[in-house]
Amino acid sequence: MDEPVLSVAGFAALQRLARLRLSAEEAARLRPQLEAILGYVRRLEALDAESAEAGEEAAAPLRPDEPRPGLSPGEALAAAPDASEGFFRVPRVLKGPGA
Amino acid sequence: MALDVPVIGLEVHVQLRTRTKLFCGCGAGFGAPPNHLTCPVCLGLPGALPVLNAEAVRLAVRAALALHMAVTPHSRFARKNYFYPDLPKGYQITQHDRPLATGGWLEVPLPGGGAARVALAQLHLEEDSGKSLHAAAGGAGGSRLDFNRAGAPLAEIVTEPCLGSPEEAADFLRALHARLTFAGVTTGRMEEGALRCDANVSLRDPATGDGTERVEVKNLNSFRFVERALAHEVSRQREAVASGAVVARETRLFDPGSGATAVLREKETFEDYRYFPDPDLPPLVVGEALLAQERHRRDEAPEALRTRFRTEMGLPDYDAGVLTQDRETAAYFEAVARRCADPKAASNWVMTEVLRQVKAHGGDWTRLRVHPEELGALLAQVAEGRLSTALAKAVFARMAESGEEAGTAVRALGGPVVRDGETLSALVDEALRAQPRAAEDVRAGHGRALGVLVGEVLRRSGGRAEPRAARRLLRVRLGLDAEE
Repeated sequence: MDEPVLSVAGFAALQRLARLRLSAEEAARLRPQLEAILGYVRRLEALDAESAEAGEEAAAPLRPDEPRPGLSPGEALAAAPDASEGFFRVPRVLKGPGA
Repeated sequence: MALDVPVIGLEVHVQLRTRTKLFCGCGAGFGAPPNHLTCPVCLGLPGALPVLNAEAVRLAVRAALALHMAVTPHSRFARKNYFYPDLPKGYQITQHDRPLATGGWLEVPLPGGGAARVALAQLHLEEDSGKSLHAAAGGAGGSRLDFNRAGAPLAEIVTEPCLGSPEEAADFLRALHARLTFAGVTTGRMEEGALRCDANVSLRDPATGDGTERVEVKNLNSFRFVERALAHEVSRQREAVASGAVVARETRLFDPGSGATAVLREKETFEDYRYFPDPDLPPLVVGEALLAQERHRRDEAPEALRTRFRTEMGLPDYDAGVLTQDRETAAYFEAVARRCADPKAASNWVMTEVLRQVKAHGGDWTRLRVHPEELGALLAQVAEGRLSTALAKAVFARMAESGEEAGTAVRALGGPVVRDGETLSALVDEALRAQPRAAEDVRAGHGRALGVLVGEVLRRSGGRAEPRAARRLLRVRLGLDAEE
C-alpha cells in the first residue's frame, strides 16, 4: 500500500496516451492532483466489499429497435472545426490504432 | 521439425441486423449519404447517454446459442480508450472482462466430406467506428470522416487459435457466414462489410511447443482475401524463421492490390487501452425469458420448420416444402412474413419473385439486394390497398437490380401513386365504360364484381393507381357507400 500511486514513468506514459504535452509547471500542478484521485480510489479498494450486503445490481435498461430522428447533416457538422461536402475533415491520417 | 506449423485465430466482426445503432436510435442501414445518420450519442457530444438496443442483445444471444456458447447472465460494458479520428468519443464501448458469451464451437464442413469442430473463445457486443476516407498519397485536403456507421451494433466472435491453415480459416468464415445469416443475425452482405475479419498468425514447432510471436493481420473483408492474406503471412513468417530473423509482434495490414501484408504498427500492450467498466451502462442482464425464446428458435430443424409453417402460418404443404428447401429461403420468408403479417402473400412472393432473383445470381443470397424487411413493408402496402401488385412487382425488381429503397424505386417507375384527382376519376370512368356488365352486377348487389372494375382501373393506370382509392371512387360512382 505504500508504493507511490503514480510513478514518474507511469505519469509520462499517461501523458503520451492522452496526447498531452505538459510543461514542467503544468506537470508539477497536475501530478499531485491525479495522485490524490488515485489515492482516493486506492482507499476504496481497501474496503472489505466482500462482507458487505450486496445490493440488487441494476440491469441496463433496454430500448426498442425503433429509429428516431437524429441530427440533420448541417447540425451534425455545425460544431466541426473543418468540414467539406458533408464530411467532417481532419488532418491527414494514414496510420494509427484501429479497433 | 522446426517452427513450421501455422497457428491461426480469427476475430470476426459481424454487423447485427438491427434497424438502429447499438446505443442510439439512429438508423444502422447502409448507403445513406455521409453524416445523415448521427445524433449526440453516436457523435460523442457532451451530456449524451447511451441506451442499449434490445434487438442487438437478442441477435447477439441468438448468435451465441447458434454457436453453442455459454451466455453470461450478467455481462458488462467497458471503455476501450484510444485516439483515432473515426472514434468520436475517444473510446469505444465494448465488452472486456465479462463478455456476453464464452466457449462454444462451429462445425465446418471438410472438403473431403465430414466436418471439423472449430473451438470458439468468446462473443461480445461492441459499437462500430466511423469511416475514414483518406486523401490520396501526396494529395492535399486531409482525411474525411463519415459517422453513419459509428455506433452500429457488432458482435465480435473470437476463435481459439486452432485453425491450421489459410484454407481452414476461409472455410470457417464461410461456415460462420452461412450459420449467422440463416439465423437472421446479420444480413451477411459482405460488400457492405457485414462480416469483417482480423487474424492472429504465428508458427509453432509441434515437437518442442515453441512458437513465434503473434502477428495480427487486419482488413480481411472477403473469403478470398482471408485465404490470400494468410497464405502470404504464413510464408513471410516461414522465410523469416528460415533466414534466422525474428518475427516481431506487430499489426500488419493486408493490401488486396499487392496481395501482401505490410506493417501497420507495433502491437499495443493491453494496458495501453486502459479498459474500465463504462459508468454510463449498468450490467447487461440476459433473462431466462429471452434465452428460452431464442433456444426454442434455434432447435428448429428443417422438418420442424416445415411443420410450423403449415400449422402456425397456415401455409399449404407445397409452400412449406419449397420454403424450407434451404435455410436462407426459410429465413428470408420468415422475415418477410413477420413484417407484412400475411404469410401466404409472403410465401407467394418468395416462391416466385424472390427465388427468381436469387437464381439469377447463381443462388447467392448475399447478392439479393432487397432486405426481407423492405419486401415485407412493400407487401404490407399492397395489403392495405396502397400499392397495386403489378407496381409492387416492378418496384421489387427495380430494388433488386439497383439496390434502391422502395420510395425511390416507386418514383423512378413513373412518379407517385395515383390516389385522387382527375386522373383517377378519368380512369374510373374508362373502367366503367369498358366493363358495363360488371358495373351492372355491382348495382344489382353483387359486390364481388367490384374486383373486376378495380382490376380494370389498375390495368389502365399501368399499375400506378392506388387500389384502395380506386375501390372507394368506384363505389361512390355506383351509388354505394364509399366504405364497405
